[in-house]
Amino acid sequence: MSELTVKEWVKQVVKPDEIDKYLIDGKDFINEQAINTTLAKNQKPEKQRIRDIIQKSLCIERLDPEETAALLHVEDPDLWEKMFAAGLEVKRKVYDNRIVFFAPLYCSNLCVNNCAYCGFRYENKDEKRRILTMDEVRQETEAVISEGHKRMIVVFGEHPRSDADYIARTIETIYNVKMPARNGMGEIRRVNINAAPMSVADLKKLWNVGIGTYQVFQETYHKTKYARIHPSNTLKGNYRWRLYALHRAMEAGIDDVATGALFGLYDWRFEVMGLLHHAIDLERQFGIGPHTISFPRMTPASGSALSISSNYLVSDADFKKLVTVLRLSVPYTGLIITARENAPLKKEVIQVGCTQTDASTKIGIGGYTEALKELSHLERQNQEIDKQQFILGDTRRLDDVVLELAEMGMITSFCTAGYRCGRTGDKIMGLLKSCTEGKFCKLNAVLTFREYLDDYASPETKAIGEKLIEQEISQIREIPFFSKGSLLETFDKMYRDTLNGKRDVYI
Amino acid sequence: MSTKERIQKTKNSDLSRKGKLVLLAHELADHFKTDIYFCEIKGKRWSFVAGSDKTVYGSWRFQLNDRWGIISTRKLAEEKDIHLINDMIRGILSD
Repeated sequence: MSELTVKEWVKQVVKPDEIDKYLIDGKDFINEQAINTTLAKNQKPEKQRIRDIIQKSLCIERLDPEETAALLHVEDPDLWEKMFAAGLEVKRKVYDNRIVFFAPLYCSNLCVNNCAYCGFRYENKDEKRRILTMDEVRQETEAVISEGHKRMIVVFGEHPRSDADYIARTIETIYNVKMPARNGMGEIRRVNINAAPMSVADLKKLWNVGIGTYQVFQETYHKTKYARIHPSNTLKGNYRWRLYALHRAMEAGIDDVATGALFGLYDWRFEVMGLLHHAIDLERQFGIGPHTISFPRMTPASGSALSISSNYLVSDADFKKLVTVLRLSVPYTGLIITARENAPLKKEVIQVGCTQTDASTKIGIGGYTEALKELSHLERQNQEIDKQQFILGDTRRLDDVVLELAEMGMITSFCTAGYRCGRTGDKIMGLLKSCTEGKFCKLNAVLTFREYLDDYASPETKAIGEKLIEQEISQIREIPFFSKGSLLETFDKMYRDTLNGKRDVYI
Repeated sequence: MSTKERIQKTKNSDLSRKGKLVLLAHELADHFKTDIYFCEIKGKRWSFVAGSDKTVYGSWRFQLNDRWGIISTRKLAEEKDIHLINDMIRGILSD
């Protein structure tokens, strides 16, 4: 933890040369005039053009801004149905039939920023401030593991007490936690981080302890709106420092990075274009696009009038559309839909091409441990707006969501194979674009779902899950790719080992 | 030129570490008749640095030292013989 005062710490965070080096001709990659012109030019796209663009997505090629702008302006309901179906097909080609699960862990709501939409803003005197000790991180992790999770996203406010050293210790602490399961021990196998932008030197600290994905949301790509909601005298007021956070991460060696925007701050079509341009610039400068894209929608937050009254709040119908366009625009990138969304909408939107979601989610600081103590079933009523960044829409337990997906024919995965097998960064990008990685997604989904069914699943989930696993294994035996070399033999052995109680078996 | 001699030549070259690893990966792949990846290890993460263009499904992962590991489709050596591989790559991955 930094020994500087808060003011001293804030002053030394931003390194201007670690922004300037990524500018091209002195400019950043968000040209608002160009984005607005592109959107305006593509307002009434011809149907055949849209069909052609959909075909390009189905060939797993990233769309150009003109093409994305055209999709954003489709009005024909039949074309939207085709796009929804294409989104699911793109996802199946790249990532197969699985949905990966994770749990978020909020470690700290101390923050030096004053963002208009956030419950953590420092002027929010109603917010009960807390930062977890490592013992508390351990306890929270034990609770998460006991649900059956293997992956976490750990979230921090921007503050010297939760600096890169604290974050690195958190990662190490989480990786060291083990909890008994029905067979062997459960553990967290991948820790992703959602944190403030940092310098290359600080990012290397996270790299050195084995961070999974580094996630920084731009919130809004619109510069005027950004300035209005992030006071200029705060760290987060520096638009470009945030915009190039993931570029610095790549330079530090972290080759799995994640983008996102908070939908509801500005026009949703503009934000989709911003996310696309972000992906394009990462590809241009590093050869690798984002590992995932997130699209949280603004929900009520303590002390934030904006979270309720914004002119740009996104309807459910538009939310489904923007996720679909993102899916088609960046076909190889993971898409994360979270428990911010209510269960029925999440179920609907997962089917346009999302790849990851969370469940059994608690976003209060220390929320998992407190929930265990209370053993309350009235979870929505027990959310405390003054301890959380926002209010959740879906408070269901992991097993309930796993069951729902299984009934839909989608297999739950807790896979963490890629980043432990050298399938990272540009290596995994190539495999995703060629639809090869999805074959490994399929195998590892079966292996990790087997673990979940045997170690954590309710009898009802297990019954449906067994049928789903049978279907997946039948498909594996029929797909020619798996007959190459000794891959099928290797998988069969691994599956038998897992059935016999061996854990953390992956390809 | 034998495999050992070619590896020695690579080690003595002016190439960057990554460049040496790329060549070394080819030599090992030829020698052991299998595809391999060299990975840099950070915690649980094994990040690809150099190796086969093909997909290597990780039947065999071996940690060479604190920082480096090899993944290959089949076992390259029994544990008692792993020093043979370490001898080949000493000087490239030792720091």
